[in-house]
Amino acid sequence: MRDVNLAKYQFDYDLTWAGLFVSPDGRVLGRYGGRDAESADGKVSLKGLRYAMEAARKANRERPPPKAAPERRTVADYPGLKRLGPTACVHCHQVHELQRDALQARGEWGLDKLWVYPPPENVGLTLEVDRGNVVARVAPKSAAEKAGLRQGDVIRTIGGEPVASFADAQYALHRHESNEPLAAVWLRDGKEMAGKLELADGWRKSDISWRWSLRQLEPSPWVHGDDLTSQEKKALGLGEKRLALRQGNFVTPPARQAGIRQNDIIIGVDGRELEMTGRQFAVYVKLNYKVGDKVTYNLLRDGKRVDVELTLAGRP
Amino acid sequence: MARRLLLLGVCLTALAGRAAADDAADRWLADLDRAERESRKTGKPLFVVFRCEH
Repeated sequence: MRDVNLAKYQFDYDLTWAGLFVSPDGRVLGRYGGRDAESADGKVSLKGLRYAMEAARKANRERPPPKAAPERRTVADYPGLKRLGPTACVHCHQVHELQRDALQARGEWGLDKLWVYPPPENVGLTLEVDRGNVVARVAPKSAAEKAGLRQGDVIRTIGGEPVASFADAQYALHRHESNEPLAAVWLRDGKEMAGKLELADGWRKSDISWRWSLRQLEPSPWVHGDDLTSQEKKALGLGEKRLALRQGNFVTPPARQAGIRQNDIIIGVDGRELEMTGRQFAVYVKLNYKVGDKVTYNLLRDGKRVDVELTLAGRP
Repeated sequence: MARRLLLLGVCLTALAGRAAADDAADRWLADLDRAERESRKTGKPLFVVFRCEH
């Protein structure tokens, strides 16, 4: 991503695959790809890609001339690039990290900035995979339902951004950083309709544990490993959804210093019984604690409960 | 840790009402600057693919 114009090529940089349709005069006509925490490819299909391509083709024919020369911004504009080295390859997810570093350096960082590219389900919209702007389902009592959207509606724009795919919907929601009502326009039976999505506090939040760009975010939990299987949890008397992370064979120095051992099973922290995966637990620690905090990890060791105090040290 | 690769693929396509793979003139380029120049020259839109393998 070193020489890519990030002002033009804006997409969810934590994705392992993203496609953008770009007009000859350099405007992005649409995006394809996008995912949620469930699956890397649950929101994409070849039919959906073709559908989005046809929409981009139509938009290309109908586009007005550009008003101004496109802005240019690359990773070189981020001070944090220096720590990667002058010739290091800059991976997509590192763009999110560099943006985070820049916000932190300017004192503009807050945890709320972690929730990028919210899925449309956050406003109550489930979109068809093969036709990425057709509403497959509207969640009851959601912002989408209250705005008047129904199953079968064809979304035209959200916040003024054209929508032909899940990725387009995510981009439109990503650009809306407040709780102010968000305009939506859609077609129903050939008739254009409009409404406003009324957004509650925290509307951008979703399960972000899949995001690679969070791995370097501090504090680290300093424990890692695999989740127990359903059968293993049941054998230990743990519920299906209960956190049960088996510490792997590499025990980090802070964990080792605290007394954590390989095969210890982390089931909670500070006496809180958590229902989440190990991956979600890592994000839970990042969201709820700071570097330097002392936490008590609640473990199972050889079938017995053990509590271990660990200091969430900063990275060296 | 698996080696990480960033691949950039750019497809210059006419999107002329048929699948891009069917058109002999459509081809993948690996140079974004060149693709953008060709897009401006030919008037064809681009499909730019970013791939990041962790």
